[in-house]
Amino acid sequence: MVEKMYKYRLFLPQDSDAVRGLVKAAFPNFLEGDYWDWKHFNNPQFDPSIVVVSEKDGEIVGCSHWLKGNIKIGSDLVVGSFLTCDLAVKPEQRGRGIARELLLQRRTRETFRSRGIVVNYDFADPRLAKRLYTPLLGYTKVGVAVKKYAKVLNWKRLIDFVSNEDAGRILLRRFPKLRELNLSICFKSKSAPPLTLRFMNGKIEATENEPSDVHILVEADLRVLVSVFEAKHVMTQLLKAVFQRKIKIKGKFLKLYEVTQNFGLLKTVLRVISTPEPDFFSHAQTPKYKVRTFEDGDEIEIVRLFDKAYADYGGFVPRDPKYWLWCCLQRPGVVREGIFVVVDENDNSVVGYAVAGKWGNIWELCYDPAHDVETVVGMLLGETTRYLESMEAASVSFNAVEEDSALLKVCNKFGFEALISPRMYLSILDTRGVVALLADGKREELIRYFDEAILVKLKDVPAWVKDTLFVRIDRNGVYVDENVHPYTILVKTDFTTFSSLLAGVLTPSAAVAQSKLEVEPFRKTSTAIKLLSYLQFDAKWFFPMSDYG
Amino acid sequence: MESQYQTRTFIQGDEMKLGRLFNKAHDWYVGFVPRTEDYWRWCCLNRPDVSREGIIIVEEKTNREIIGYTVVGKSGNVWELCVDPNVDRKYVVSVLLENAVSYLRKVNADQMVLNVPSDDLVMQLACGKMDFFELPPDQMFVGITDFEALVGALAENVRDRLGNFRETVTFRLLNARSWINPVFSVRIDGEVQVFENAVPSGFSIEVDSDVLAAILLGNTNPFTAVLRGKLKVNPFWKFRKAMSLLNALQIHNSWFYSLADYG
Repeated sequence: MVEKMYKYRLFLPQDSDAVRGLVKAAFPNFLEGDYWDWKHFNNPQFDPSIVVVSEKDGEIVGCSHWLKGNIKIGSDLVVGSFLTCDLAVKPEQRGRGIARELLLQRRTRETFRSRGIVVNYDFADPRLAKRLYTPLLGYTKVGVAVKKYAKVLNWKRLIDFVSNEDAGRILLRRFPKLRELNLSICFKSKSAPPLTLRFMNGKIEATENEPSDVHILVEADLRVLVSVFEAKHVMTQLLKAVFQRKIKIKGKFLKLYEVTQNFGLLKTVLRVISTPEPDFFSHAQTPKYKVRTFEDGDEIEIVRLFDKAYADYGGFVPRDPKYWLWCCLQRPGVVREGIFVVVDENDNSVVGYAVAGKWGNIWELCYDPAHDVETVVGMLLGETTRYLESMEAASVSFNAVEEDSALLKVCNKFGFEALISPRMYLSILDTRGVVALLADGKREELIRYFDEAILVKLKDVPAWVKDTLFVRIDRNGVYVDENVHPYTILVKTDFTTFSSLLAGVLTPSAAVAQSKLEVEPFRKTSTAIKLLSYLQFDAKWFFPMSDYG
Repeated sequence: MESQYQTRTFIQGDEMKLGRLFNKAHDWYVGFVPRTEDYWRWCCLNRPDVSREGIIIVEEKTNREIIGYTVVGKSGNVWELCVDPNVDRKYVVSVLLENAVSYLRKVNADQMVLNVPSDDLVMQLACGKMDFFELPPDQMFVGITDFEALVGALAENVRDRLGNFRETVTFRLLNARSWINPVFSVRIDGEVQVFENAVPSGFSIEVDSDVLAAILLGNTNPFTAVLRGKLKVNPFWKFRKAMSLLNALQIHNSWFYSLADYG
C-alpha cells in the first residue's frame, strides 16, 4: 500500500485562521496586524481557487498563494499575471518537499489560460530562487533598474533588543567572554543617529548619543559597516575598509585588540541594524530542561518529535501515537519508568526522549535538534544508564545516526563505543509500485527532461516479481506498467542491482561501469543513466532499534 | 518656487488622480501593476500600516493639480513615491522626502526604506542629500506561463517596428514544463494571428523554453543564444529574419517596482 502523508487541496473559508497564523509565523518581521486579511481575504481580486493548502492529519502545515492582477511589460502592454506570494510551511515540516508540491499544485495550462494569465512572478530571496523557483518553475531573474535606499531614524529596536533580559542572558551564554569585557564603542554614520554600545560586567547597554568618554569611535557609512560585519572574513574586510578610508577608527590600541577578539558578539548585536535575528528571538527564553518519566498523553508530542528529528531520513516505520504505544510502551521489558522525557519547562514541550528496555536496549533515543543537544542527550543518557544499572543490565546499546556528530560527541563523553552497525536488507516486492511512487515525486522533472519509453528487463527475479517493467514518460505524464510495450530504451540488469539502484545505494553510472547494467541502443546510455538517477530514493536510511520489531 | 506649490494629506476622491500620476511617472518602466482607482485604493489606502496622514500630496496652488505624492507606512516603508515628470522634480521630491521623514519620526518608526529607479538621478541625489544609505535591491523573478499569448501580444505591440516583416513563424520549445504549450505558430501580416499548434510556416525557431523566456524578458541576446547552440532556426538562411523578429519582440524597457508592488 502506498501511503501519502500530506494532502494538498484548495483553500476553504474555514482554513482562514490556520492560514493566517501560518503566514504570520513564517514572516515574523513582516507587517503585523491584519496583513493576511488585507492582502488576500479583503482583496477585490481574491480568488480562493488559486490558494492551496497542505494538510497532515487534518492540520494545515503549508500554504501557497497567488495574487491575481495585471503587470506592465511594454510601453503600452499590460498582461494578466499571478504574483507568487506567502508560501509558508510549518518549521517542523520543512525539508520534505512540501513547498515544492505547493508550488506545483494548480499549475496547469487550464488554470492559466482560463484566467488569462501570461506571466507569473515573484520577489524572492535569490538563494531560494536559484534552488527552487528557477529549476522547478523556469523563473528568470530580470535585470532591474531599482535602487533601494534606507535611513535609520532611531535605534529603538537595537536598544530594545539589548535591554531585553532574555536576550542579554542568551548573549552571555553564547559569548561567555562578555563577563570580562569592559568596552564602549560609539558608531557614527550620516544615515543614522550616533549609537553607543557599552559592554560592562556581563551587561550590554545601548544609547542613542555620542559621549566623550568612549574607548573607540567608529565612523563609517552604515552600508559599509553592515557589509563588514556580514562578511565571512570580518577582519580582512575591516582592514580593507580602513585602508580604503571607508571606515575611520579612533581609540586605544588595547581596546581595539579587544574588539577584534569579540567580533562574534558585535556582529550579533549589530545584525539587528539590518535585520533582527528571528531565530535569536524565537529562542529568547532560556530553555529550562527537566527530565521525567513517561506520562499518559506524551505519545502525541513524542511522535511529533520523532517525525521532526528524522524528517530527512527514510527506512523506518512512520510513527503515529497508536503505533508508538504498541512499539515502545507495550514492548516486553519496557515500563513507564524506563521511558525518559526531557521537557522545556518554559512551554512544557517535549524536546527529547529515550525508551530503555530493562535488558539493555535503548529502543528509541530522539531529540529536537533546535535545542541544546549536549544537555538534552546528556540528561537522557544519564537517566537511562542509571535506570539500566539498577535493572542490572549487562550493557547498554542503541542506534545513532552516523553523521550526527553532536550526538556522537555526547556518547563519547558517556563512554559509549561504536560497534559494527547492523545492516538493513531490503527486498522489493512490488517494483511497479516503488517506481511509480518514486516517479510521482519527480514527475515535473521527468516530464520536462524526458520523452522516452523505457523497458527494464530483470534477470534473477524472485518468484513474486515480474521480470519486466515499463516506464513511459511524455507530456501526458509518467506511466508505469509491468507489461511490455513499444520502447525507445531497453535496460538489462539483474534484480539485485535494480533494487540497489532504486534504494539509492548504487548509482546507475557505477552499475554501467561494473557491467551490471546494459543499455540498448548504446547511444542512449547517458539518457538511461540520467533517467534512472531520477528514480532513486534520495533520503538517507536510518532505523532505531524499535524498528527491528 | 515654494509659493507655487502646497502640501496636504490625502482626501477622499484623490485615488483616481494619484493612480493616474503613478502611471504617468512610471511610463517608461515595466514590471509593476498599472494603477487603477480600485487597485490603488486596495494597495495603498487600505494597507494595514497606512493612514491618511501617511499619504502626502504636493499640488499646485492655483489649479490644485496633484504633481507628486508619497504613501508612507508606519512600518517605515515608503510604498510609493512619484512626481509628475513635467514639473520641477527636484523641489517636489525633496519636499515629499522631508515630509515622509517627519511623519515617520512622529509615528516613532525606526527606519525608512524606499525604492528609487536607478536611472532617476533627481531622486538619487535627493536621497543622497538626505543621508540615505543604499541597500542591495530586491530581485524580481519572472516566469512565462503562456508563451503564445505573450509572443502574440508583444508582436502586436511592436507591429510598426517590424516594418515589412511578413511571415508565419513556428516556435518549438524544448524542455517545456507541463503547463506550457511546446509548439505554436504566429502569423505576422497586416495583423498578428496566433495558432496553438504548428501551421505551415516560413521558418521555425527551436529553442529551450527557459532561453526563450530570457530572450523575451530582455536578459539574453538572441544572437548569443544562437552562438551557444541554444537556438536553432530552420531553414538556417532565414536566420536574419528570426533575429530581427526576436530583437523586436524583446522587452527593452527598464524593470522598476515600488515597494507597494511586492503585495
